[in-house]
Amino acid sequence: MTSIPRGTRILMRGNEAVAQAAIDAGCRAFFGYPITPQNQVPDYFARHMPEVGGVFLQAESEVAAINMVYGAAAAGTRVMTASSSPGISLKQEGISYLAQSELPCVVLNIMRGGSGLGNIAPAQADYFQSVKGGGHGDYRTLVLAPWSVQELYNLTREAFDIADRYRNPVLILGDALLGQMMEPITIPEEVVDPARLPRKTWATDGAKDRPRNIINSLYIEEPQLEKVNLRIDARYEEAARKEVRVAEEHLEGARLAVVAYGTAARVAVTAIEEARSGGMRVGLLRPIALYPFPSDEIASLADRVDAILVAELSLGQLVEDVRLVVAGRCPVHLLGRSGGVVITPADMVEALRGLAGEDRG
Amino acid sequence: MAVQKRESAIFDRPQALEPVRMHYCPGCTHGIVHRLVAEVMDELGLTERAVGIAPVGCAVFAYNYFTCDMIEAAHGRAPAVATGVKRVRPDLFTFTYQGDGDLASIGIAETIHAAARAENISIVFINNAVYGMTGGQMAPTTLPGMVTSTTPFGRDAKVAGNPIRVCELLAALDGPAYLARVAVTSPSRVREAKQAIQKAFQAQLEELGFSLVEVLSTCPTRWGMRPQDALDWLEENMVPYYPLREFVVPEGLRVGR
Amino acid sequence: MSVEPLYHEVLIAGFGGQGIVSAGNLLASAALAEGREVVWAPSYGPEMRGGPVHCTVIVSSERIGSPEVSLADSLLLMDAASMQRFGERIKPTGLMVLNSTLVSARPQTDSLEVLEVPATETAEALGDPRVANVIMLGAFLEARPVVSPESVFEAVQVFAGKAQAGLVDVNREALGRGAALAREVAVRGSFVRGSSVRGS
Repeated sequence: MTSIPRGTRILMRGNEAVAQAAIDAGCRAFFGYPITPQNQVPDYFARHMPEVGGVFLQAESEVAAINMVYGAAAAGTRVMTASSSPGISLKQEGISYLAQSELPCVVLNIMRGGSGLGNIAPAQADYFQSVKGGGHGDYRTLVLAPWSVQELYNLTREAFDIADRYRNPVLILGDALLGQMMEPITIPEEVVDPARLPRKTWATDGAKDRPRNIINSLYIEEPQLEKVNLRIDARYEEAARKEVRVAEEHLEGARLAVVAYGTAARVAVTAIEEARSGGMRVGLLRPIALYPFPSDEIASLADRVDAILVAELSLGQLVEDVRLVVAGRCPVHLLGRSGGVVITPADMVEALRGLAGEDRG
Repeated sequence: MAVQKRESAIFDRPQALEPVRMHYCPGCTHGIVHRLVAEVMDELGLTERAVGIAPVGCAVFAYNYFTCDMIEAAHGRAPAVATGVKRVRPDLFTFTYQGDGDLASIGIAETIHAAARAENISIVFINNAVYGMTGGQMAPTTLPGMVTSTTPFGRDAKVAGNPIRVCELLAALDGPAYLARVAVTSPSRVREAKQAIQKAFQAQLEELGFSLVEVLSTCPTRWGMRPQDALDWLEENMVPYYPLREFVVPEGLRVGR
Repeated sequence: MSVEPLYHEVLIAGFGGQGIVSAGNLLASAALAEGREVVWAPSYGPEMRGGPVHCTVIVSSERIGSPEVSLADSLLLMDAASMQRFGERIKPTGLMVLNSTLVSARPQTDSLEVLEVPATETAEALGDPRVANVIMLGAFLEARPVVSPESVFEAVQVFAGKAQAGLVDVNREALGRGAALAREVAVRGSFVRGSSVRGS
């Protein structure tokens, strides 16, 4: 067990909370490459993995790191990597292989301003990349989007169970602000002992007293590949039934709803408080899982409110999925900022007032 | 005159090789090298704790041929995958089997860094100076003047760059424990190649660090030659450019049979 | 544990080496110890020694929504460049604490409360220029007691640890000097102690 105080409120950075959560979830290998704004993640693992006999290795590139994850996952170990937007782009080929080879792992993306080199400020512009697969092929990653340091911890711990359950990469989607800020967090006493986790019978860990195992994503025969893809797809369907997570606030009787995740949802909380104190009936729907997408929840929300405002730190990605499931039931508006600019509560209050006015008109 | 029957086999398929037909072209030397790897695995008793990593290239189906656990890696990333396996399970024996495009072109970074880290893995590197599977394109080891589908007028170093001598490149690093270049063009060469693979694997078992055996190989199909001509061409053209020798040998390596 | 309602956004800025991040950490740790909700967030800049640094701290009695501070309730500016960069990032009736040793400019508006503290000069007189940040903090907390100086001092003790026990005494003195300076030095505008600590 690492030397961190447990069962009491402490201040911790988001990036560090993720790393601690991984260790507490029984993750015993981290491979990564430095990139701002997630550098506290590898730093933390480098310092604390030795306390539990785990592996930390600074890889020569993001590409190498994700392929080390592939090897460690194939050998049956709980493993993760972390990066930020451009580095996650580099990992996408490997993530595709992991998904197609049915290997569990956890990937953290502390999103920064893009595209290209962009900058190192908070952004949510990797939404499409995260929820639509990201690399080549028919796979998806399961995507969790925490909005606080405590939730970064909690969801990262759960992510390892989800990854094992669905034998698929799970993506934790944060941003520069969530990763670098400190908040109070309570780290629970109980931790996962990796030796007590169920044995992965499919792992390539030595073909002793069993037939050999092969970890592979190559199926030259078309029907065979389609069969594998359908098998994997069935897991996504199961995830769509079981893993949808949303949080709602003030939606009872609301005329307007904000749909936002992560940092944008935090901003929404402040804006909604102010708007409500001014008499506006507005609530928040926050997808906690971005894939599977809360389609039913948002569709039913659209039946209950006059309009939806999607707030995101991008020029309009989440809003496309919201519009798809709303399907014209109500107007869907976008409040998006890009390039590392964070939406302010004042921006959002103004947007809500505009919508309320429109509504009255 | 009575014929004496002997019951003991003098030649058989190694236990580490699956009893399946390989997909390699007639005359290709991949089959010989597969057999050598399997023989050494048998002799060192490695199959039950071995994890092999197959490349992308002609040997992409190698995971079908060895009886140990196998992983198919992305193009060029086998050393990184092997690193992942070995770091979390140092008790496993981990080898990669890679071609020249996989190891020396797209995967050169993974190769160099695994070597520099003294990663305790073994690499069997097939250098046949051409991309076989994709249709005979230039490899990083294609000789100057050599005709390929992407150097139709012969490899011009001014345009297409110079070949990479992988062993010499890696020998400049402190990490490698064992580096050797061998060929499989004749029975004596095959014996030498097997000894090199033995030493490479033994180096890993003794936790000495990174080991790599470069095997000069023929590709009669893409070279446009008959198998015997290809073997002769290799001796005459590749061996002078890629000298056969041991580049790094650890002190006190317990090999010899 | 504090119970009275509180919501206060602080922005601290200066250059690398002035202890900007540490000042924010001390404030955040004190708030944590007092049972507050708190968000500490650093600037997003490439790592550069001596380069511009800022951080924000939100201290609240309730759950904190937006972790990003747009306009601060209080600005602690430790050098001239940060005055240029952040001089406007303050609510119209906010408190601006200036390190008057290094900041000569003054805000153009009369609505702000301005506290001029010769923090660097005072720190040097105390024999440790590193405690200028804690002098600023002491002055700020005298004007806006969002946490008690005792809680900050306890955080100092934790941060200094056994290895740097010598730092504890000079920091205690720095906190006290900051508070004293806030009481003594020229105050512009309608400064009323604790006036803009608003409930939520």
